[in-house]
Amino acid sequence: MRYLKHNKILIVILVLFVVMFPMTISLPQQSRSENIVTAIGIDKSGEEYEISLQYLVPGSSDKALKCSSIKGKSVGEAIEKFNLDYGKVSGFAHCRVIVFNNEASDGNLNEALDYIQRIKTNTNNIFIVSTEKSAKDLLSSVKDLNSEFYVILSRDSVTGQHNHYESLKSFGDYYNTMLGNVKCIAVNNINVEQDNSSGGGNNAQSEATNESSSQGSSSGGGQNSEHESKKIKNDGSLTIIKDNKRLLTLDSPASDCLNWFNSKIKDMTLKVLNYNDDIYQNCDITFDVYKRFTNVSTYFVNGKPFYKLSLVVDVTIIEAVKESLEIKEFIPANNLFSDKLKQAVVTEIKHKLTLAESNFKTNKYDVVNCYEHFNKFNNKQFKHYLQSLKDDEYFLEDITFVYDITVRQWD
Amino acid sequence: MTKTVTTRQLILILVLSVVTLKVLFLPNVLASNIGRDGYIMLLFLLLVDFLNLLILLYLLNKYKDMTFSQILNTLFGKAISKVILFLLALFFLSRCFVRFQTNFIYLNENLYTAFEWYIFAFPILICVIFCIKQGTKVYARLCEIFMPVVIFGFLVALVVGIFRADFTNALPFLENGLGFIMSSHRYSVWFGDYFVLILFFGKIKIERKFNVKVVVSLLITIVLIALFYAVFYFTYNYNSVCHINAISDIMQFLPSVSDIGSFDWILILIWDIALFLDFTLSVMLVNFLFCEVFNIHKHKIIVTIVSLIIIVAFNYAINFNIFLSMTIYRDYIFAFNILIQAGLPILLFIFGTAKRRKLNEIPKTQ
Repeated sequence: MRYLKHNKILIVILVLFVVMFPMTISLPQQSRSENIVTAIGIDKSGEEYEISLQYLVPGSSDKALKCSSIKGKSVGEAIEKFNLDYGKVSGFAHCRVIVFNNEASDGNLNEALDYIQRIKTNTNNIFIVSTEKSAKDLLSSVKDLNSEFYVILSRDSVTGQHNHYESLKSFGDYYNTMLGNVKCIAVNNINVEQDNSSGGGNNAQSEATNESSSQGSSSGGGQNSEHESKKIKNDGSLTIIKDNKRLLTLDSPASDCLNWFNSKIKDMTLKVLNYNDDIYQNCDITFDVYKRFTNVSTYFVNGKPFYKLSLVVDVTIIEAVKESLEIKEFIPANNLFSDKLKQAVVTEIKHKLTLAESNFKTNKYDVVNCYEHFNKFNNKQFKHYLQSLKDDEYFLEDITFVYDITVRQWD
Repeated sequence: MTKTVTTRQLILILVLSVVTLKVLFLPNVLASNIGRDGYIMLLFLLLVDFLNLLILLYLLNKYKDMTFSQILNTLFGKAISKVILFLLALFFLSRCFVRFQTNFIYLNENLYTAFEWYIFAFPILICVIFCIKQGTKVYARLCEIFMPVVIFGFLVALVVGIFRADFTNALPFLENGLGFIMSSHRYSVWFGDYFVLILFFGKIKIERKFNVKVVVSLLITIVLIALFYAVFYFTYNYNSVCHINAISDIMQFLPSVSDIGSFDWILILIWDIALFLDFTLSVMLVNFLFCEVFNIHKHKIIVTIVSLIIIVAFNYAINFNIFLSMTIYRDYIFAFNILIQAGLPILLFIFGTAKRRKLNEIPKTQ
């Protein structure tokens, strides 16, 4: 006691211990009261929402991921129902992906996402992904891979196409776009399809079956006992959302054209068909785009807006398909690109950009952020230009797109 | 009077009081009301507040060995000085309410949502009482130890944000003009931090280039705080309104696919230290001012305990709702805040310079 009397700091520490210990030792683990949701699926059929939650079950089991579904008149109602049935509150701090089906996005998507946006622990870093038919099927397939959805999305390739990781849009991107001037966003479209391949081979997706969790599902969703083999199909297609509604779905080739406007996509390939020169004759040449430097500048000439896209593309040949074999094609010195080959690549890129341009001009969707570019860098002229239009929606029509493309050979 | 606080300690204490809350909730409030040009408002308010520092430094240099209450007695006489000290005590008491709430909300949201207020309140209050009992010397030493860590945390958050921010979001510059400056009074609750200097009047070891060191350090701090807001807004853009806790969110909720959020807990712990030190400083000031007003020289600890009971009771009454208390400040207490933050420095400056003239005149007449 005498020691304590002379060391007041020890008394403080002792008091703190006496106060804190009984109050904190009895606190329950948060995982006992909270459900760790890693992905949310939103399906709409008629006026009802079907919510699928992929969640983590702490433990040493191999199948740590479960997926359960429940229906409700709104997303909030369905999740609250799920919480009651499952006996835990759904926690979304670890949620990385939201998937919605076409029917949900055909209506007001904001209606479906509002509940999640208002959750305090929502990180805004959640990826949003669309699917044509059923988000529930997609999440169930992912669950069987026993890998979190975002890990699958971040893999270099899901079905042998490009790496679309950089092009994935997050919840934060979605709200930034919808609250801003553009109100238009392109989100990845990922689907589930029947796997007809026998044996599975080394394709991880072919091992995915539609087994489902029996826990927590009160509506019968996800309790399908049939063992259908399904695989995830990520062919690079995109869903265009405008004003909180699905405008259209771009198939893989159309998305590929649009990706040339997106500076974030690094890993791309390009194909030039029926190419002829001294070295390559009647060849279908595939190029790997190693690096791409993108620069956008906007300006006005006589009141008309110009959008200039400058691209410097470093490419290398990864495949040249033809019927006959020529030794000169394999001589390293001959591998230098001829000007004609470079020009062919430029023409092909321009063709893709023009296709994408005509598509977004026709359908009036500004996923390349034209509006923001002009608004930021040519604000006064752009406002004047908008005033000259009968409707802001037609602002893309009179913009002239100029493409300045330089192709370099990468060794 | 014993000189117990060094120049470096004083600078760190001033930086602490200026930075702590301005990088927590204020960015969200400015983003919600002003948006893209909020950093201009913040810079403007910080510079206006900086004038208070210059006036207080002027008094400090002039009356090097006097405490603040002695200076007030010299300038205004005993009765008026008591009134001013009482008003200042109320001003700091109101600041304590916000700081106590902030401590709770920060811990509650970032560490464990199931926290009841008393779980965090008792340990903090015990530490505050202990710290106040030890006096300003120990407090200054504590700041000297912990502030480098706090400044490191702030700079890490700033640098991480700079790499993620899209600075083109600053454009178009001042699209809607400078009209928002007229609403600057709404943010008075977040300012007036330099008044903490009054606690250390007469206790500072004034070294060489004291004024330059203090002014330059605080100007750098001001620029960094404005830059922090800019980085915060240019990172989240329209989504900034959803990010209440700027310093934590800039690490945790970066629009990034990296796992940088894993480091967030370090920053949370660092900022808890800053919040605790800031709250302790405000309680110390309340204690000091009430003791001066009521001439309490013994049993000062009773004043501290009573002040803390008032602070806890107020927060309990409004259920630790920071937005409710901010609304109360904005709508009802802003006039009082402006009176203290703008009126008092002007009075001090006028009477301070007038007094000098009289002093200068006295030798001539003699």
